[in-house]
Amino acid sequence: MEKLIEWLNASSLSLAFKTTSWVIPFSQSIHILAVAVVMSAVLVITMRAVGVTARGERMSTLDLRFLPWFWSAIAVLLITGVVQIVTEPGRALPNPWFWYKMASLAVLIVVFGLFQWRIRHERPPAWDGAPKAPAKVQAAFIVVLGLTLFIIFCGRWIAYASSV
Amino acid sequence: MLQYETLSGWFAQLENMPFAVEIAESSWMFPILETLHVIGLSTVVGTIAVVDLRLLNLASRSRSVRALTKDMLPYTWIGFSLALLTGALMFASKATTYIHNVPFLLKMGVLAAAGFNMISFHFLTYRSVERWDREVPTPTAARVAGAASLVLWMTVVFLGRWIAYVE
Repeated sequence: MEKLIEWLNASSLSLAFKTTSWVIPFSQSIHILAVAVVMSAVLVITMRAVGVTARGERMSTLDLRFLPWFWSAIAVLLITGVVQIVTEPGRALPNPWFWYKMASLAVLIVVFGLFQWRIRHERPPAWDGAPKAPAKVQAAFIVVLGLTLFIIFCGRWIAYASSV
Repeated sequence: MLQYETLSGWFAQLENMPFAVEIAESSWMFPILETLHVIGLSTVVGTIAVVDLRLLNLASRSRSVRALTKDMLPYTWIGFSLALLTGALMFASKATTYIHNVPFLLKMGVLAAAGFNMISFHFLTYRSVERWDREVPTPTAARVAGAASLVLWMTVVFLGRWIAYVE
């Protein structure tokens, strides 16, 4: 890990980013905007599942509309995240909160990946047009929303805590 | 007329209030406020963007503008209230510093502009929404309001980040 940090720190890309004062705030700002896209996508999908929002729309229609935005935002988050890590590898890589964030993000990506696959390749379930999804499905989405909030929390906490 | 000394005295008073001092001296309060601020702002910007993209005919084109706005607005308000409250508390804890911070002052200005854009859209263009509710493309005024909103809110986010980088 230390070797990786050293290597990254010394790389010419890192040096280029470090000496350009606006790289970090700029990539962080874009990172936050992408968080906003993920947040609203997850919120809309979850709120539909629990029957609070857009009940006239079929769930699969809504989900297929918001999922591409979710994935684009994830891509932007990964790119801006990598820029930040390359610029300041010693800030995130040794920090456990960064790794809690990455683990949670991995879970989020897998869950949404499976979700996307099912919507694309399987026929919609009978409750697709119902006001609410079955209780288990509602619970799953609420957990996903909570996970998203936890990821945001970890993201901020990296700057404040270097240990548990 | 308020003189500069009186004004900065007011901010110093705010900063010295017990709740503000507690936030400033705590190791965890400010970080928590910042985290909640990010959650609030991402909800605001995200839900506003959904409506703006509809006004710009770039997304959710099959949905009625009215229905979409009605769906998103509660979350926009919840997110904004959270961002405003956490922002005010963070500001209070270091009021005399922030009041001189250029990105912060610009951010407040751009926020006001974003608010003005939303209010004028609501009371002018939106009044005739029944006529263009399901039309694609939406009227020019609606597209201008949507584009302005996106640009203004993105600027708010950039300025907000920049606050910490300017002393």
